[in-house]
Amino acid sequence: MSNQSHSPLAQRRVLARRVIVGGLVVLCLILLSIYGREASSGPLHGLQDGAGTLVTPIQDGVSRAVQPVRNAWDWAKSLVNARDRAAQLAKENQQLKAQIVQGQFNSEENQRLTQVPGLGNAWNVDYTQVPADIISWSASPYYDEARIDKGTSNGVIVNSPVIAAGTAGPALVGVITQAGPISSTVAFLSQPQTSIGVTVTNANSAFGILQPTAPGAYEISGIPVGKPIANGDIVYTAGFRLFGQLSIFPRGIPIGLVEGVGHRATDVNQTVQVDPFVDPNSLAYVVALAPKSALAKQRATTP
Amino acid sequence: MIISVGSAESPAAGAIARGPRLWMVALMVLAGVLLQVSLMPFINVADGIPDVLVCVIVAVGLLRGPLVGAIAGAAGGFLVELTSPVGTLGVLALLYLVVGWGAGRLCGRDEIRGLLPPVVLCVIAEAVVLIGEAFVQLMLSRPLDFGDVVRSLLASVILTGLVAAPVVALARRTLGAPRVVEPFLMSGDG
Repeated sequence: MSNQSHSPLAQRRVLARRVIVGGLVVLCLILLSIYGREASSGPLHGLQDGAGTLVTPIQDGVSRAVQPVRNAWDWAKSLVNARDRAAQLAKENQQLKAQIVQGQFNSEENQRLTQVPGLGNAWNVDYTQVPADIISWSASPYYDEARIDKGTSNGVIVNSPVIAAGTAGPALVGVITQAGPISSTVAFLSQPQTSIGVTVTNANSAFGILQPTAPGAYEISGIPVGKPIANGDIVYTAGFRLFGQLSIFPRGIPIGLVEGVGHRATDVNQTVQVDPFVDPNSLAYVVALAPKSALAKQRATTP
Repeated sequence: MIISVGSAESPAAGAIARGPRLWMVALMVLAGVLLQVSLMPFINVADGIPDVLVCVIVAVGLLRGPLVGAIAGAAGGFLVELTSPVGTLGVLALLYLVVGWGAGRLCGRDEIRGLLPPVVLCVIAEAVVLIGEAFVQLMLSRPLDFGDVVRSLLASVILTGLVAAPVVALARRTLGAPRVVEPFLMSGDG
């Protein structure tokens, strides 16, 4: 046995094995490096788009097949939380009634402004709404991403905002990060690197940066202590980022409700906790906003 | 490079004598990838996803040796990264390659004859993949919450343990007895 393992043939075998495996390791490292550095329009991202397009019909079929099971599961989960949910809804109802009064006052002027294309604060005018099914979720638990069955052939491009039906109407849930001809990838706001310029109702044009802090929770930083923010205020996209740069998200898309405000005595800014209107994990359908106006297209190409 | 068949270093007593069935290995990996990118993400419990592909790779490694395990792992990981929105390319391929290689080193060992040891191996392999993935995310300066990582890891490992037994049993039934497949080996039993 010992002679056999030291024979020239055995040594060649070991060498060949090491060369093959070593070659594969090097190939993986090269792919990893190139992929990390190239833009989303690069060849490797293009290869991913192509492969994603190939498996889209399979993912679509599986998604439709498992949908009844998912619905049943969601229904069973909702029964467990029904009592807490009812109490929470009653509280939200009170808050919403108060907001109606303020809303009626503003609605006439808002209606007039949203009919002007290109202002950038009318996502229902500057964008075409493209309804899409979620056909696959990320196979990695570290990525809050999903694939939808609409792509560039429907006008959906990289950096298109994605909204979904939430507890209080349509709300922002994510952004398109890769777009193929018939399918695209959505990165949800719960991704750790999310950073969005937002504003809060009743806070006198307060501007802050919204980031996820924990599963299903967000925090806004950068709003000065003097700005009046209260629980139940609605958080919207601001339409711009720090230093007035254009944001990829148009102004006015709701994100969630303020559920906590606080600061220490020495702080100059408040910390605002936000409860999002939409839980991405429960979604089966979304609406991608395909840019229509020149400003919307400019937003999508914002670096 | 011609890859040919070698006899099992320690053939299983009473196991069915079969060829290397590398085409079947390829089919198993392909089926594992399709399940992993289409069905498994829907079985999301506490941010954990069962990893059926890691079970396939471990089973292939245990039944066909380190070289086939490593190649199957690299190919499977690469296909998952191509077809699922995981945000990387090369990372999963590398991690599954390591898993396939490591499992292959145990090919034909007496200690892994039963069903429990391979299942435990699948669980360990899944933990290795997720920890490796988290490490790469940190290297790429991607913020990760430690609590989220631990929760995802625990949930994924438990779910993977649940799917491991049927996958390993099916792989054993399909591929037969363990046998190391190596280059330049033409011992003629295949």
